[in-house]
Amino acid sequence: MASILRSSKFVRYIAGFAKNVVVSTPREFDGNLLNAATVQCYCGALPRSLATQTSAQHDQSLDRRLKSLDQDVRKSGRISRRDIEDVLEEIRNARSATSSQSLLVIRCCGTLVPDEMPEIRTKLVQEIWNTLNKLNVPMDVSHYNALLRVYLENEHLFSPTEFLSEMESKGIEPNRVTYQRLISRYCYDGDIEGATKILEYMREKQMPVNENVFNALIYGHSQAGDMDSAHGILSVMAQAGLEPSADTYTTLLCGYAKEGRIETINELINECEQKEVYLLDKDYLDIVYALATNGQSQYIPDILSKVKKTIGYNQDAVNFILRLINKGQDEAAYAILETMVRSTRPDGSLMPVGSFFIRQLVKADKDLETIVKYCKKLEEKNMYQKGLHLATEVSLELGKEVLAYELLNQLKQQGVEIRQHFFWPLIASNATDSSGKGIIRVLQKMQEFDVIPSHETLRDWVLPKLKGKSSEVLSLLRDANISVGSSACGLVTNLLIKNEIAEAATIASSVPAYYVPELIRRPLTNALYATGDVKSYITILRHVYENLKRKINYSDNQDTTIDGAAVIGLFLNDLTIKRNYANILTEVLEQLAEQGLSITTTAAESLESKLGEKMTDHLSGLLGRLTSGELTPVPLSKRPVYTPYYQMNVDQLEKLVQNLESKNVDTVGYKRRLITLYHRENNLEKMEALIEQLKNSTNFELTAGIHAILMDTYAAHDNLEKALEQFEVVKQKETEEFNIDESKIIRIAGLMIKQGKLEEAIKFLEETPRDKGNRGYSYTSQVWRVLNSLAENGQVEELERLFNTLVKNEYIDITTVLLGPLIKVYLVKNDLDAALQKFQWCVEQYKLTPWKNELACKLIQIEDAEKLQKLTDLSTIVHGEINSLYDLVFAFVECGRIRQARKILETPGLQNRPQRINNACERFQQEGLVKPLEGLKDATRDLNHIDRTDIYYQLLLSYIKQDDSEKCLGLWTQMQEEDMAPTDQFLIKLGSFLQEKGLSVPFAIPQPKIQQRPITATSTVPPAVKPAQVFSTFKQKLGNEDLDWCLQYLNNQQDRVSVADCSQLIEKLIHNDRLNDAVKVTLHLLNKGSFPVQKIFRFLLNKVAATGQVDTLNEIGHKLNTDVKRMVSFDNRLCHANIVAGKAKDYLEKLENNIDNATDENLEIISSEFPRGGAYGILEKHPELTKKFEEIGIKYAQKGVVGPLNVLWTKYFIDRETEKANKLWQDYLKDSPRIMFQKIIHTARELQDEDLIQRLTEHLKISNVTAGAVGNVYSCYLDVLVAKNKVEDVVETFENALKQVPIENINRTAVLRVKEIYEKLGKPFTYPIPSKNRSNVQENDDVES
Amino acid sequence: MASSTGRLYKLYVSNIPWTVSHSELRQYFSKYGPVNLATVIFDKNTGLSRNFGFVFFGNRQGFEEAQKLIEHKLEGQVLKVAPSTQDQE
Repeated sequence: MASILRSSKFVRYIAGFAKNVVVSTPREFDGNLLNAATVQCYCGALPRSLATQTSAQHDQSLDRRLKSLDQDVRKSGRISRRDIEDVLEEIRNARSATSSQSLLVIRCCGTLVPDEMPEIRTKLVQEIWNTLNKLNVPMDVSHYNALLRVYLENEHLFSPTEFLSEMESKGIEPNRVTYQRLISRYCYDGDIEGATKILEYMREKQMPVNENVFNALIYGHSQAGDMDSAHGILSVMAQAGLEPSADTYTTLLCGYAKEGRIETINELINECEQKEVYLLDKDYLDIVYALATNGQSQYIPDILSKVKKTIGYNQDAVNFILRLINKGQDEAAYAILETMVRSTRPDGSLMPVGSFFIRQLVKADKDLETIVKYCKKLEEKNMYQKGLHLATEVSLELGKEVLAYELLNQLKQQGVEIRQHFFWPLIASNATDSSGKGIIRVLQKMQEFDVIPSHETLRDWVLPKLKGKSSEVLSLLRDANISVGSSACGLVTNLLIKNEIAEAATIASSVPAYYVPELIRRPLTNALYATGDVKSYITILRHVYENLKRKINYSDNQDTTIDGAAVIGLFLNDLTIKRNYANILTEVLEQLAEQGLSITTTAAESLESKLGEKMTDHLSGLLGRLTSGELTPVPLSKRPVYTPYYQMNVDQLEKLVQNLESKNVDTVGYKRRLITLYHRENNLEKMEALIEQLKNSTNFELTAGIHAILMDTYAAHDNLEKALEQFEVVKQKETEEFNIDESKIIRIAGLMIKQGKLEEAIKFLEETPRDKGNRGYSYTSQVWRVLNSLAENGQVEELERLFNTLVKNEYIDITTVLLGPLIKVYLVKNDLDAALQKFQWCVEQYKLTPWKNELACKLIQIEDAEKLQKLTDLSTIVHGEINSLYDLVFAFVECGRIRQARKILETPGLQNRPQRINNACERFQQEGLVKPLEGLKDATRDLNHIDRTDIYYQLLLSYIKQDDSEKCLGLWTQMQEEDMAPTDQFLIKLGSFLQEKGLSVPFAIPQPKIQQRPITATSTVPPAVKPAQVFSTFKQKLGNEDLDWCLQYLNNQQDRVSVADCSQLIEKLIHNDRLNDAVKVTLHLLNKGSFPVQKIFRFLLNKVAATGQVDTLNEIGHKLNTDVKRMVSFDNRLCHANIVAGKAKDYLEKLENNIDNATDENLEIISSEFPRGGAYGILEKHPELTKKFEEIGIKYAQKGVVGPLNVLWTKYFIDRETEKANKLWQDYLKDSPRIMFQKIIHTARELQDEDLIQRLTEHLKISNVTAGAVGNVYSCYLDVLVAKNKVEDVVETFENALKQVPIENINRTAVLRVKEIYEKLGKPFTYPIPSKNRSNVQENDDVES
Repeated sequence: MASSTGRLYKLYVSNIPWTVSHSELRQYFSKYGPVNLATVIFDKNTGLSRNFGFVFFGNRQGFEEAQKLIEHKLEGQVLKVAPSTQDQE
């Protein structure tokens, strides 16, 4: 049943296919021309996706906030003003923002904040704009365009000419997008003449005119009340070869809505349907909005009856409701609310709906009557039950005090209990009033509601906010009708919290009141420790004690007996919360005794047991007793270590055997193990030699197992004859229980097939008794290779026979991969009918869809709609509708059929699967498929649920590969048009490409990361009159290598030169061997609180270190904080400098001194100051210091810092000092959560030391490291093998690696290299290529931190 | 720190309606056993409820009883109840 529905749905995408195919050739991309137009609807701008992936390199909290904004937008299409204000605050604190971050914030201030009034949003954006200007954030045309868009969305009536002249004064040239938006501005006023003027100007400049402009014109005419002209634009568009889109029609429909021409509206909607232009729900809501705001509300039900309520409808509805309430259209908003889809609870009842509605009513300052009316209505309609509660909550949240009291009254009338804490938000929101009158007013109001302010209210909310002397505070509170007792107790507590113990004592001794012991105790203890003022402590304690009898007044429980001695005991016991209480306790006890106060025995006993070994004679005299205890620390014992032989690798084991043989120890057992290892390595030569050798030894028996291994190795070396020979031997030896591993059988059968002996192979498969082993990845791929060899030769029958035999005899667990050859064999012969039939068989039989994409592409290419439909139906059975549709999208895109792809993506309710799109993008880029990538960009345009940044970035990479700067720049402009913020990554890539080509860059290239963290606040550059010019002179001189001029200029005008330019100067100075000058410039930057670009900073530090200038480095080091030091690996350089200067020993001693004097507080810093990378240099250059190093390392390790010993281990490991390395490992490192072995990888890579890296892989098998780390090691291993051109080892190692880690953990480039090898060998490579990001993550994974 | 009295029977309660404060929370949970302390967390700056809090039971029985009930409902809202992860102090 469902499948009928489904297929009828697909028909829509595929039906027009045949006829479209002829006309819709794949669209050429051109960064500037018409087809790249984006659509913008003018009757009410829609929230576009922010579509950004802010790169993690900048100020993290700012980035985190922006990221969460972005997520909100994607989820709901809206964000809150508070979020934006937080971001603004963050920018202010950081005193900087990148160009793309600022672009993002600007763009947030439009309809993305539907619950705020447009005027407020405009104010907000202007505030942001000014802040950014003040901070000197570089702004380019994209920022101005974004500002324009926000103005339009907020219906802000700015003057286009002023806007243009402002841009001109800043020297920024408007572009196509700027003019388009200015046209819209004129159109808002219905000023067609103004719009036309700009249009003519654009024509003059030969700027392309696209659909946006026409939509604006339609809007303009309808604003002017000229619907005929508005409608006429459609035919103008047709003449220009542009088809009207859904947005075009919506704009027009809104125009008619304004005039209430419902019949025309209905006609137009019909026309859309005929033309296959699908109006989305939000388009209908736009029409409703136009009706409501133009006094045509009577038609709203007509339009609302047309909405389809697809996924996402509710979010759109919410946004429109909020906007309508802001516009004062409560009725229309309510009408939409009633159409919202309500989900059900697990018990079948409906989820409530409408909370946001009530919230917005309160927010938009509706009067009590309206709010109560809707609350009742929602309750009656069973939509939202506790409307009044919610409205009250919101009014408290927003500090709407008057409304809050009114609502509280309503609640009270309904019999709801009014509680203390309801008033806390009101007190809090009055806290800024320094006179305290606001707070007093709330306190008085509370009493009108019969709520007497409690201790808690006074202590936590009122008293901390009341300023002034204690006496003034007391009298203020008296005005609020608060009893003196309550006030005094609260006041004393608060004073104690502020550690003002003397003042507290004064109050306590002058105001008799019940000082609640439970409230006062802990603050009193803390205040005593903070001040050491025992006298005041005793005073307060005394008054607590004296006033205990007043408790009766506060307690309902009349027979409460008060035990003063017990209360005092509790206070004393509370003193033991601090470690060093013994001294103070002594003093307190002495004075208590003087005061004549006594404590209970229970309290004394409790104190005694707490004191433990801290008890002194004097104290025990005071308390009367003494106890003591002693502990003997048990020293840690060390355990011996060794690697068991079965965990050794070939090298280790060979060495061991050699070793033992020289001592005449029996080694047969170890050799047997060696044979297994040789088998794993596929090393026939060594194996044969060893077996030959073993045959002669007396106590060795050649078991069936060893023959089987030998057989397999022969088979792997394509020696069928010898393999079968061994097979017979095995058979004879194991008469009783003869069986062979599956993988060994497959290997021999495969060999037979390779030699054309299919029948023999099948017989072998059928008749050989076998042992089912673990069917790992390599087994499956082994089987696949056999099947594939037949498929590639187009041997249909043979393939079927083999496949059936394998299935019948249960050799395989069916997977998509294994079914692939069955389809492939037909495609090789170009027999699509048979291929599809086989595909259907796969689906029906196994619910698997092998070779689907290839099939789909073939069908699209030959335009076989019927078969494509069938394929998609089959796919839907297995993968579900959405996945199948996405697959279809990519297939269409790959074949250049953009129109079809887009149609699918426009499907209302098609859920977003961003990962699928990103994967596709990356695949296209890698495979150099630019056309499909462009196609995907066009197909996803304006679909705001899809994050398109990745598409743009991948396209940019492709264009750069093609060396086409115009297309690259065209992408940037187009992103403005589509209201997307380019990522820093995008801008850096584009900017540096343009620079390389000697072209001007129309935006500020984001600077590399280190600069984004200004350390002090003084690094902003004061705006010069013509900064651009000054800078460019400096740049020019720099370019001409006129370094002396630059240095001099820097001395005179230090603040005028940007960090980037300074950095360049530093670089040039170093290149000219003027290191001292370079250091000077660096120090100059550091003194200003910034530092050179990270890359150059590192370069400089390296140079300084290489010349052994320890003092210079120390001078620089003093000016850096820990974070920066880490970023530039400062301590490693320092270490290096010491080595060069011959001071390695001194340096080690300094490190030793550090750790000797480490405290808990500074341990982390000391740990970070240990040069994990540089220390290796010490070991390398000064082997004589190894012992010293180990001693120091152990000291570090005893404090939990294993890094130093890790370095030593690395050294031992590389030097093959296996025993020492293992000992260190077992004693200190094996449980460490983070092990560094980057140096080993480096060394292996550098020396192409296959053995070293192989040992490391073996070692890690027994270690506790992440899959990422293992992947990293294997990546290196593969690279070394590739470099040595050991192709077969590459294949083997790769497959081994996959047994241990998922392919995502292997370095992408390594995988790509492996893929090349496979291709060279003519082997099919069927593994997914890991995505870029993943492999980056993994590379960073175990780099030292 | 000074003396560990062993486990604390501490519950983490969230999704508390804004109308509920300490005493209401204590009253509700008292039916499962003696409650030493019940507290709702309020935002220091705004005075608004953060809609979560903690209940300290005096004995294990109450602590466990309270977790047995699948759905706790207080003033029309379903509470989320879980043992607090910091059970030792």
